[in-house]
Amino acid sequence: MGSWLGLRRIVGRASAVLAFAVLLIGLAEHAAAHALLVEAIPAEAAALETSPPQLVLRFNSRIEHKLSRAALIFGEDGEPQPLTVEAATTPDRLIATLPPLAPGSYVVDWQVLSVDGHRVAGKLRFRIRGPG
Amino acid sequence: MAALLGLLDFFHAILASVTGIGAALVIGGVAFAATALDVTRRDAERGRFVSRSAQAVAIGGRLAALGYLAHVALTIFAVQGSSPAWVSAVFEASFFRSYSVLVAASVACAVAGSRLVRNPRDRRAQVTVATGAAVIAIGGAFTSHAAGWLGERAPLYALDAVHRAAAYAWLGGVAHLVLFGLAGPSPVEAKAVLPRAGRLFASSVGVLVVVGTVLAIPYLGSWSALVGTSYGALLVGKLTMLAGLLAMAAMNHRSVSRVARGDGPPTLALWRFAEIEVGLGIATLLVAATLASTPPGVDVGTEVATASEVAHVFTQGWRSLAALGRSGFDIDVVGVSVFNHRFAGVLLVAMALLAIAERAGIARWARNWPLLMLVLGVFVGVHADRQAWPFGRMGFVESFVDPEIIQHRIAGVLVCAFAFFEWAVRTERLSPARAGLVFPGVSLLGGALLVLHSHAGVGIKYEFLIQLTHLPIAILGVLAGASRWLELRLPGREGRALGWIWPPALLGIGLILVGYWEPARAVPDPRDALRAPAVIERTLDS
Repeated sequence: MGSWLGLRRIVGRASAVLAFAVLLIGLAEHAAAHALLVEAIPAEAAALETSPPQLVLRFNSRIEHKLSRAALIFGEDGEPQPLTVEAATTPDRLIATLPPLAPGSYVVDWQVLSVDGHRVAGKLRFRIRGPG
Repeated sequence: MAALLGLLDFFHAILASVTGIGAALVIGGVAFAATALDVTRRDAERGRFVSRSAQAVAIGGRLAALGYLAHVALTIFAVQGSSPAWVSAVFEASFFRSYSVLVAASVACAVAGSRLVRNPRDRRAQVTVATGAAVIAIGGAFTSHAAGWLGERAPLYALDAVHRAAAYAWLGGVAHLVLFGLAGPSPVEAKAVLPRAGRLFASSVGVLVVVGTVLAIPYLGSWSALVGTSYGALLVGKLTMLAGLLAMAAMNHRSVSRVARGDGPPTLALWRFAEIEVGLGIATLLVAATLASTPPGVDVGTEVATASEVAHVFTQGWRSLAALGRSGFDIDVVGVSVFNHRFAGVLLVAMALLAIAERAGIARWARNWPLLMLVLGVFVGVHADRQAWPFGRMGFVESFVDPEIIQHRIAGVLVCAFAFFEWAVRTERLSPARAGLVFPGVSLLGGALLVLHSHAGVGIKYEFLIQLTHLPIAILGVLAGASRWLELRLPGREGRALGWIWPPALLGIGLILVGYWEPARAVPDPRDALRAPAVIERTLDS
């Protein structure tokens, strides 16, 4: 019986540690974000003829404009160029003026904070085909 | 940095659960002490119970304060900037102000609660705790979906605060009732306190149901969102757990009425049902924490699944099994994920049937059914991720960077450990008094965690459809856990009768898994590239 008790103690403690680990990792899998990107201009995977004047990201909830940001990357491996986010004109939109863009592929790396304190980040890809 | 940011949702979900439990202990403590314990009474016996409740309030206040503080710290870390304007932006942000108020209120409750432990009649501490509890309920509303709502927010704030207060008064109140029971009240004390506690819980539930229903209307937007979105499905899960809680409450109500009539002291069943109410309450709080970070159904737009798509998920698996016959279990025909679920289902069905045979006294050897759980544990730990060792190209050590693989490996070891406990209990090598509680405890917790399990990053509708079968499995898991817990903790006929619930629940889980089916992937799984070449070739050929 003594060896059973020893084994029980070891298995019991190991199980408690593992159960906690599963709890943590199990919760880690839950990655549903609170704020949801409902519209983007330019749209995801858009192929445009000309350079768009603005980046507009519309969310399903209010965002903290001063704590939200976006950066433009030329190609997949370019250097991120921070964009200036406009002050809160509409509560659910992140608006940034875009510089004139040459033909090529672009990635917008964005991050917003919803007013209830949830950070959401994402990437938006689009392409400028250029004239002709 | 990127890895830490990736874990942000995980930390936020944990913190939301921690703050939920803390807030429930504070608000439930205030409600229980003010109504059931009647803190205005000045006798030493009642003071002893108030002091015990105050201890739980102080712990709840500390838990909540730490949780809120950690949430603020993590959020600041996540949005950190380099300009000086960034610091002032943090101080101006709504979330910072809301959480600061919540931290202050929780700390006040923790300090005042500690003072009440020493002197339960300290009037100033009583008022501080009551005010702090009200601030936590109201402040919590400013961290909910209501804060981000684009329409008129004031009614949503009001409804959320009332909903929160009622939920915490009930779930936290039951936890305080269990503490009262553990303190060993005299029959006279029990007769005085229990009926009042019953009225507190009944009124809290009434408010909870009415306000919760009103609150769900704007967030769902339509009946179809209740059926076809993650938010709606989670709401259904929460309502099902609420129904379970109500069933426990109804059983307790009979005992409380008997005590109130003076027909004898409270029965053991009352305290045992209250224990399960606490367990279900924690599970419900976990679901509520998930709901708080899931986009409302009304915002999902065109990604709402139709009722027929939902029904298809539950029926297509059986249709394909009928059409394919034994090939329905061929990994190359049905794919790795479906095969894994179906194989686990077969094992669970076998375990459930053996457990039923054991209970019915048909075959004594059937009590060894937990050994099949050992097989399940090895299968989950080794076969769940075929892209990794020993089946795939990803090495054993290398595979431990993927959270999903780590989860499956640990879950496999855990299932083996729990199988060992249950087998040792059933073969009388261990006493069921404590070791036996491992199985129901894990079923309860595992069921609640399964509700949180999601497949992120593969499209909202696809994600919803793929996780849909998890919901009934989770609910059956919670039901099985509650039934087995009561069977062990409640001696006599009542416990034995309730013990008949968990084997069919296990059978139900097994059958859902046998009929498992997944919609076609909207986005290719990049991990397929890491599967063994032979497996890929076979898949391509088919």
